[in-house]
Amino acid sequence: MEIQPKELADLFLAGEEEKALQLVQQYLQQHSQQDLYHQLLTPAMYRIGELWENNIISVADEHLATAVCDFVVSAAELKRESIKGIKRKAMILGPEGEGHYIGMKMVSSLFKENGWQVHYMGPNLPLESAIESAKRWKPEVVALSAALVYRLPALQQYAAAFRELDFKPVILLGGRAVSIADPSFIREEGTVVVKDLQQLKDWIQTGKEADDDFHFSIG
Amino acid sequence: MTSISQLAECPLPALKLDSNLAITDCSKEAEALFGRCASLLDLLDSGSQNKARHFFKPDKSSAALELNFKTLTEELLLADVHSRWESASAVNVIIVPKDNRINEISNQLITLRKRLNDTNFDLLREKERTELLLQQVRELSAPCIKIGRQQLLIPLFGDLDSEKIEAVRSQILNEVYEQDVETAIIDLTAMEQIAADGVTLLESMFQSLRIMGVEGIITGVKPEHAKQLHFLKDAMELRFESSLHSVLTSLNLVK
Ligand code: B12
Repeated sequence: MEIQPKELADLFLAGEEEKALQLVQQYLQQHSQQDLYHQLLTPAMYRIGELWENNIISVADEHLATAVCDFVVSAAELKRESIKGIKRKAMILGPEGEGHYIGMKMVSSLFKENGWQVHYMGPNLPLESAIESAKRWKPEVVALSAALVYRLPALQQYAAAFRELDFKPVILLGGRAVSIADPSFIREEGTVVVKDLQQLKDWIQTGKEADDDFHFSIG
Repeated sequence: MTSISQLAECPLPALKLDSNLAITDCSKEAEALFGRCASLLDLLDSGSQNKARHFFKPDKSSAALELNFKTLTEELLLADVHSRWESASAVNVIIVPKDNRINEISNQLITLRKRLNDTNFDLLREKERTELLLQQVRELSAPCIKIGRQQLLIPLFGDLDSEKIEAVRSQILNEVYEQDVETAIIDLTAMEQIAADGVTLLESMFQSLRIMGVEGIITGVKPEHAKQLHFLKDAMELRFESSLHSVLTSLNLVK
């Protein structure tokens, strides 16, 4: 039987990266990279969050689970062949103080899978260096991610700074904090709020924003 | 808060709560860390409130509970919370902040990982650049030189492998088409190694030339290539000439 998020979460918590990778690679024979992220890895990590809320594991366990999950995401990514030709450019980062980065990596990977050239800058990136890199590389899209609700103001500040750039990148906002935020949150010209990977894929492929983005589900 | 505090001098942040989690007493340590609050929930990060609500019940066991607190300095503080119910309506709570080492180590790991990632990325970019250069070299290794009105001379340089042929093939066919060529002379004098897949592709290129009504002539074959090219001669009835000079003579291009 195909691997379920719960089982995978247990492997992450047990630090069984080989076994986890093996099962994930089996899964990938029947499913897309996006399914892997959306249906398997994200629910597995959310499951880890539930276990913590149920006082079954500690934050120390979450560190280990994240490291294993990260390993799986990176290893699964290497298998993908890149599409040749001129590539559109996307830069992905988390604001200063934000440490959750698994979601960002998935976002990078999804862009790459769709033939984009990606600069994954990681979490906790100071605004100044973010802007500087953007000026140098001139990405068409800047994707910002936040998991902590306290990072929403920083996200707004970053978005505003990127909007000032003369080459006018499209700014995508996502992550747990964004998807549970008040819908009135940042509805500025040139800023797109994306709830999950399915919406991101739709946006990448059609360039259109999902029209249900005023009905956030609480995740 | 009661007027006489029993917890005040406790050397750790400590609270007394009623069954609704309202704070009825607190230690000086707790006040210094969190300020004055009415309820335990006010001290907690939003992601920890449900957990506290769920586990702070008189009938639950007193296992330590990990919760995230919001400090006066607007920082999040992870702590183990130990509790003991005095009665069904009062619980004593001691908060033991976790040491931050694990976060620091984790951050260092993130930095290291990022560096690995960057190195990887640089290597990849370098590789892409090299591949591009290699492709340019391949494309340049089959110049098409027009000699006479309908003859094209194509000296091939370097190794003959499938990548090379793939790279020069369309260029050669285009040239042949645009220049209205009758004869294409492929000169192998500067050819080094010949790979098996190179021969197969060379054969298919000659087939394409033939379909376009162009005669292919191979010249400059070295002894070490002769064996590999032998079957081309039989299979395709290709014309081989020992030297460029003899081709040119036979085409009446030189006397
Ligand atoms: C694993 C984890 C950790 C790991 C993180 C490791 C890492 N470097 O990533 C560790 C243990 C280090 C950690 C630390 C902390 N954590 Co934590 N953590 C989690 C947990 C359990 C899972 C997060 C995760 O990996 N999710 C999986 C990813 C794939 O999901 P995602 O991030 O939502 O991303 C998806 C989408 O949102 C989307 N997406 C994401 N970004 C973007 C961007 C764009 C542009 C788009 C289009 C889409 C998009 O795509 C992803 C794929 O589906 C969550 C629980 C939860 N329910 O989320 C808590 C949680 C997020 N953490 C929380 C907290 C409080 C913390 C700490 C403050 C705790 C502490 N004191 O140690 C620190 C803060 C560290 C910091 N500076 O940021 C709280 C946040 C509460 C709040 N108020 O916001 C949560 C909700 C747990 C809780 N219930 O308290 N955490």
